[in-house]
Amino acid sequence: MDIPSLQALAASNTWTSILPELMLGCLALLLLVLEIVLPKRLHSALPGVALLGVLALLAGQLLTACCGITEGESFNGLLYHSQEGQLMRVFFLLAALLTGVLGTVCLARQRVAHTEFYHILLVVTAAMMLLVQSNHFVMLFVTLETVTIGLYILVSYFRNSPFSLEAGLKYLIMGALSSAILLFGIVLLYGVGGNPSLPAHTASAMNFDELRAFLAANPHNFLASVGIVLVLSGVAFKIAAFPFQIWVPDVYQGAPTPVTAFLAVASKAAGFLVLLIVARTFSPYAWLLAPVLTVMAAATLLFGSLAALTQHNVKRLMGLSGVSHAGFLLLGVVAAGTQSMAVGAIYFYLFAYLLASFAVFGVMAQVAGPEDADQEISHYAGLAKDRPFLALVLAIGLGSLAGIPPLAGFMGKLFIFIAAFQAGLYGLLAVAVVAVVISIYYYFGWIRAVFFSNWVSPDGEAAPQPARAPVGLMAGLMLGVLALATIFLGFYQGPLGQWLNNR
Amino acid sequence: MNALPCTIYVSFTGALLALVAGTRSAATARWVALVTALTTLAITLMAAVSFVPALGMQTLVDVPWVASLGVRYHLAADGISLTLLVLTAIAATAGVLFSWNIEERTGEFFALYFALIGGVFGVFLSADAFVLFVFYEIAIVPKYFLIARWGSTNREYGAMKLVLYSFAGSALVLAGLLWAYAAGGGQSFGMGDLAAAAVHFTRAEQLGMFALVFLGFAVLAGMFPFHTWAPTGHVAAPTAASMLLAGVVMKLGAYGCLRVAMPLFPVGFVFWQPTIGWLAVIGIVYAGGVALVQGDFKFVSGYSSVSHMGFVLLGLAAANVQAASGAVLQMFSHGIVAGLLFAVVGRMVYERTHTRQLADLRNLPLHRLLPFAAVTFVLAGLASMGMPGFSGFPAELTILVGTWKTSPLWAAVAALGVLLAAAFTLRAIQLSFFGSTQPAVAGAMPAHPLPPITLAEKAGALLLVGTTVLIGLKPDLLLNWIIPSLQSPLYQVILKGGAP
Repeated sequence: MDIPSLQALAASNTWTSILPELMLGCLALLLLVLEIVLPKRLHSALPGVALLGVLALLAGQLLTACCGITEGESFNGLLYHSQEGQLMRVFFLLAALLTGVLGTVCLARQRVAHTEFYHILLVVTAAMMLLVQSNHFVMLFVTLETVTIGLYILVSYFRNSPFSLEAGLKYLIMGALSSAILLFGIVLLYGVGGNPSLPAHTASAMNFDELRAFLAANPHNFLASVGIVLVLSGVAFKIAAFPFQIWVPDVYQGAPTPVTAFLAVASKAAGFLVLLIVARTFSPYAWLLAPVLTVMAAATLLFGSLAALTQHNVKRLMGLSGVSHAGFLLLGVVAAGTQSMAVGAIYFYLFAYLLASFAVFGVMAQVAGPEDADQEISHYAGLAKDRPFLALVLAIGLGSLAGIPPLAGFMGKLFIFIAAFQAGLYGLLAVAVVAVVISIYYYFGWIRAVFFSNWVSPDGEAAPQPARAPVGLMAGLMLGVLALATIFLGFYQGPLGQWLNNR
Repeated sequence: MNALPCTIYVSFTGALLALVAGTRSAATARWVALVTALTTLAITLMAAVSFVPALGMQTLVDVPWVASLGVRYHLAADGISLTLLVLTAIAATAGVLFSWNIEERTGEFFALYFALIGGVFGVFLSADAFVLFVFYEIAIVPKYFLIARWGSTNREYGAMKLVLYSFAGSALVLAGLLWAYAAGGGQSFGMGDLAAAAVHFTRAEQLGMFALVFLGFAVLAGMFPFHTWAPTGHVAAPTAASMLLAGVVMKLGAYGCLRVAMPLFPVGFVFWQPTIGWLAVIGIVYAGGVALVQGDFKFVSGYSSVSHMGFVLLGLAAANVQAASGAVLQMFSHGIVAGLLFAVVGRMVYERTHTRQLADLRNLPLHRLLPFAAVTFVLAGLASMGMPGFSGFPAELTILVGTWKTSPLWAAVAALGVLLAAAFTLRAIQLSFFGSTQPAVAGAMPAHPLPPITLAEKAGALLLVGTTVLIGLKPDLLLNWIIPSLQSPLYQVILKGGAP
C-alpha cells in the first residue's frame, strides 16, 4: 500500500461523525483524572459529574436525532451511520444514565470504589454505540470485546461477595467461549469469501456489503453456511437465546443490581442490533437463517417462560423472563426477514422493555438488603403497605413486561405480533401466545407478594426481611418518570410509532 | 345518547376520587362510590329515554388513536350496547349498596371496583376491535385484586385461576383479531372495516379466526368445558365482586361473541355453530346437575350462573333473530338475578352466619331470623327459575322458542335445564331458609343475635327486584331496543328469520 492510497483512506476518517462516542470516552477519562486531582471530600460528586455529562450528551443526541443525520459510511466503511444508529445511541445513553442512577443507590451500600464503576460504564456504553453502527467484522468484533470485557469487570464488581465473583467467572468463561465461536465463524466467512475459485470473491469479505454480495453470488456454499451458523451462535450468547442462555440465572443473580439491569437491557439490545445487522448481511442465506432463527425463537420463548415459573429469587426471575423477552424479539427478527415493519417493532419493543425493566430494577435496588444477590420474592411481602409508591411502580413495570394494555409493553408485543402475522409465522405465534399466558402467572406471583403481606415462600419459611430504606429524591424521580413514561408510551407512540411506517 | 362515553370517564374519575377519599375516611369513600354509580345510572337512563332504536349503531366519538396501526378511538352504541350499559349501571349501584359494610381499605376497594366498571362500560361502547380489547383487558386486572384482597374461601387460588383463564382467553382473542387485521391488509381495527375485509378471507382463515376469537370470549362467558374458573372465582370473590363477575363480567364474554366473533367471521360461525350449540346445551344441563348437589350455598349460585349463561350461548348458536334477542335479554336478566342471588348468599347470609354450608344453615331458622333475606331470596329464586312475572321468563322462553326453529333437539334438552334450575333453586331455598321449622333446637341457634338487614341492603335488593319484575312484566322495553339492532345489515348474514 502506497502513501497516496493511505492518505485517501485517512481522508474518509470523519471524526465528527463519532463525536458522541469520543465525548463519552473523554468523560470517562475525565472521571479518572478528577479522582486524582480533586481532594477526597469532593469525590462524592464524581457520580454526579458522570450523570450530568451523560444527560448533556443525551440531550445533544436527541436534538441531533430530531434534526436528522446524514446517512453514510465513514472510516473507510468500518462504520455506517443511519437513523437507526442514532436512535440506538439515544437508547444506550438512556440505559447508561439509568444504570448510573441505580449505581448511586446500590454502590452506597458496599465498600467498593465508585469512580471506576462509572468509568467502565461509560466506556462500555461508548463501545455499544459504535457496535450498533459497525459495518465491518473487525469493527464489530473489537467493539463487542470492549463491551464484554467491561462487563466482566462490572459483573464481579462487588468483590467481597462470592456470588458476584462466581458470576464474573461464569460470564468470563461463557463470554470467552462465545467470542471464540463468533471469531471462528468470522474467519470461516472471510476465508471462503476470499477463495479465488469462487465467483464474486473479494479480498475484503469482512465488510458487510462485500460479504453480502459474495453470499448472493454463492447461495449454497457449505463453508459459508457453517460460518453463518457459528456467527449466529456467538450472537445468541449475547442475547441469551436458547441453547446459549445457560449463563443467565447465575450471572444475573450475582451481578450488582445496576449491572444486572444494564446486562438485561443494554447488552441484550446491543445483541439484537448486531443480530439485525448480520441477518441483513446474511440475507442471501434466508433458507438457512429462517429455520435456525425460528427454532431458536420457539425454544427461547418456551424455555424462558417455563424456567421462570420456578424461580423465587427476583434477579433470577428477571433473568429468565428476560430470556423469554429475547424470544419475543427473535420472533420480530424472524418476521423482519420478510416484513420491514418488524424492525420498527423491535425498536419499539426495546424502548418499552428499557422503561419497564429499569422501573422494576429500580424498585429492586431500593428493596435489596446488604447482600445484593439475596433478593427473594418473599422480601416483597407487604411492600404495598410500607412503600405504596414502590409497589405501584413495580406493578406498572411488571404489568408492562407481562404485556397488559394499555402499557407500553403491550404495544411492543402487539407490534411484533402484527409483523409476525403479516409474515405468516403462525406456528411461532402460537408458541408466543402460550409464553405470554405463562409469563402472566409468574409476574402476577410477584405482584401478589407485593400486595399481600401473608405471602409465605413455598419452602414454608418466612424469610427475614431486610429493613426498607426511604427512597432518595433522584431514585424516586427516576422511578416516577419511568412509570409515567411506560403508561404514556402505551397511549401515544409518537415518533417511535412512526418508525413502524417509515421502514 | 352523546353523554354515554361519560360513563367510562365518570367511572375512572370515581375510582381516583374513591382512592383519595379512602385516605380520609371509609364513609367518604362510600359516598363517593355511591355518587359515581348513581351518576352512571343517570347517564345511561337519560340515554335510554332519548334512544331511537331505528337509528341503528350511533357513533359517539371517533378520533385517531394509534396512527401507525390505523386504530381509532371509536365509541358507538346501539340497542344491544344500551341494554348492557343500563345493566352495568344498575349492577354497579347495587354492588356499592351491598358493599356498604366494607371497612378494610374501603377507598382502594372502590377504586378497583370502578376501574373494573369503567373497563366494562368501555367494552360495551367500543366500535373498534382494538379499543374493545384494551378495555376488556383493563377490566381483568382489578378482578384479581378485588378477589385476592377482599375475597373469602381459597381466594388466592380462585383469583389466580380466574386471571389466568381471562388472560388466556384474551390472548386467543388478540391472536384472532391480529390475524384478521394482518390478513385484511393492516389498515384498520374498526369492526365495520374488519367485517368488510373478512368477506375476502379464505374459508380456512375464517374458520381459524372465528375459533380463536369466539373461544377466547366464550371462556369468559363460562362456556362448557372452559367454565371451571367461574364457580371458584365467584365463591372466592367478595359479594360486590361476585355480583359484578356473574352479573356483568360474564356478559363481556357473551357480548364479545355476539359483537365481534359472529358478525366478523360469518363463514366460521356457520361451521362452528353445531359445536357451540351442543356445548351450550351440555353446559346448561351439566352445570344444573352440579348445582343440584352442592353443599356450599355460594357454589349453587356459581354453577347456576354457568347454567344460565349456557342459555345465552344457546341463543347465539341458534342463529335467528328471535333466539339472539332472547340471548341479549337473558344477559340482562341474568345480570340482575345473579347479582341478587350473590347479594343474599354473600352479604345477607354469609356475613351474618359465617357459614355457607347448606348442612349448617338448615339447622338455623333463617326465615325467622332474616325474614327480609328469605323473601328476597325466594323472589330471586323465582326469577332464576324463570317463573312468569320475572325477567328470566321472557328471556328463556324467547331463547327456547327461537332455538326450536333451528334445532328442536337442542330446545328439548335445554328445557331439561329449566327443570334442573327449578330443582336446585328450590332445594337451596328449602335447605337454607326453611330447613328448620321447629323452634330453635338448643345449640343450633347462633351465639349472638344476627345483625338486622341494613337500609343499604334493602335499597339494593329493592333496586334489583324491581328491575327484574319490571322487565318480567314488560320485556318489550328492552326487546324494542334489541331486535332492531339485530336486524341491522351486520347481522343479516348470520341471523335468519324475522322478529318474534
